[in-house]
Amino acid sequence: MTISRQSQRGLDWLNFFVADVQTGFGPFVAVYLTTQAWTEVQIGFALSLGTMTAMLSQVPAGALVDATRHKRRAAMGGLLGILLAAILLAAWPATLPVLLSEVLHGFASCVLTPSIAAISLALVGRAALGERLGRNTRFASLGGAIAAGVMGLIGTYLAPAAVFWLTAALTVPSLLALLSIRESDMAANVAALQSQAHAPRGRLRDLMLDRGILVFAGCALLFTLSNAAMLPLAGTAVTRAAGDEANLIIAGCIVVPQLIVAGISPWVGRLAQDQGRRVVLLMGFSMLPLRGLLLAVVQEPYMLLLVQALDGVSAATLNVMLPLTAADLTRGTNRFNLCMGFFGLAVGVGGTISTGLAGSVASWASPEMAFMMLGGIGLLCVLLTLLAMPETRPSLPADALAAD
Amino acid sequence: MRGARGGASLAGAPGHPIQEEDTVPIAHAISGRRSRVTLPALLLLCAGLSAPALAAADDEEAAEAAPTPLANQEPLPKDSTFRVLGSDVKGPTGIVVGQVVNVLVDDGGNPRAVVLDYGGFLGVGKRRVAVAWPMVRFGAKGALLSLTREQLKGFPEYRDGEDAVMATTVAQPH
Repeated sequence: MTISRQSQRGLDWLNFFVADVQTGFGPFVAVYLTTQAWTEVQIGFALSLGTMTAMLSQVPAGALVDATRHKRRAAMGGLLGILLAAILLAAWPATLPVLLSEVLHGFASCVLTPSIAAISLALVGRAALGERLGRNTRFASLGGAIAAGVMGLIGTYLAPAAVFWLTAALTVPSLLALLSIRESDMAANVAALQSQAHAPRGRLRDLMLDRGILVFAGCALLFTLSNAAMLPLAGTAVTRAAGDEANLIIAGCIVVPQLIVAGISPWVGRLAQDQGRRVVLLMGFSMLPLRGLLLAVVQEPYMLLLVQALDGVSAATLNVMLPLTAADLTRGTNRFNLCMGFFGLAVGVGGTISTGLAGSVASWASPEMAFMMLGGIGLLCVLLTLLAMPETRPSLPADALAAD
Repeated sequence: MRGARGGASLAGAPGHPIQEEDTVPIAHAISGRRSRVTLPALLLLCAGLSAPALAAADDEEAAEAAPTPLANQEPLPKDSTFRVLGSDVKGPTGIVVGQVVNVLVDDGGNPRAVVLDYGGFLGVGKRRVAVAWPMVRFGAKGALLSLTREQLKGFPEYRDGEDAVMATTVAQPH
């Protein structure tokens, strides 16, 4: 069955604009709250609340998206939640609205990410999923790169609140892109998936007992544990060492990996289809220990841009392989999004611990030690993949083509 | 004075119905004889009498328990002062380089240093540094820092509760 170009394009642009929308909600929220005279403790509390909400909603949100037949409506709900969160932040930075905004954003993101993956699976089926996910990641990283540049400039030269108004405005093209995806193109696959809901039920418990799922969740956790703190720590080092060009270098450190991801992710997806998943995972994850080592020894700020290019390779790997592996491992059940939620939880836990841990080590010992430690954790990730991760690519073409 | 009590209860008690019996003792005190005076005139008289009577009553109460006076209100026009915490800090080039996070004062209440969240892009890479009070000028559009990024290159970070250094220019007189 041929999928209309319109739906494919719609999904492309959906990924692009969603990445735009999500860019403002990173470390910049802390800067914005500082300009509203929030103390460090208050800001930490608000951000932790957001993180906690996101972690707690990963699995339920995934189950929710699995249960609904209307994947587009789930995505729409997620987008509207993020829209509201952005408006609350921009218009009303008092305590309660900001906390509400954080909670809303956490939950909405946990619904949005699996919905997009579910729409992708429903559109193209399992055979072409790798490449479709690669394309998703390409558009998402392009959106992220452009948004990072534009929002960074707006945050510096205009008001920080303007960033969140722009975020709110960008949900409009996201919704338009979502609506241009044709329900009819997805119908067949969704129906097939839903019919499996009556098959032997995959509860979360069964999911967690699956070796492939447990191992990959472990890899995802170790990956983010290693990766998440590298950029912030490197950014602080750049601000300390570089003078006037510091901002430019940091902008480069954010944008360069995104451009690399945009460049290579469809190739990564195709590689996963042709050569198997393990090869791709090992290639991507091995960038982590290498990057940790280089960040520890490289002092010249401009060289950091080259090191960040490695970030692009590993980021492309995880962004493509996480939904792909979830799809592989939940074949035959209607638990794709639940699995995505479970992996998302692992990523969230890793990311949360990462910055705290690395910050502490950088304070007690030195930033170099922190980078070495992060690289070491990356090495653990590679070893786990090498030794325990099964190959999850569907073995027979006939298997894969069946819309299950 | 009986009249005072009566006056106080007349003027001071809200909703207290004014009875003929209440007014009679006062009229008696003024005119010296029992005479029929019109009610409005009597009310005006009582109001006039009750003011010093109330004051007298207040003095009596004051003698029993001294009430604390309310704080004086000194005017603070909107544009005469500027908020400090969270305000944007612009470098010598006019670009926003950070935000004011804290102001540190010594024992005498004199401000010694300003703590800034400095540098970074989109929130990535910002550091906390302390700069000497004379380095920052506050205005309506935020704060102006007289130190450049080059001057703050490699400057050690400020950490709460630890010995720290604050940035100041070389030729700074004490």
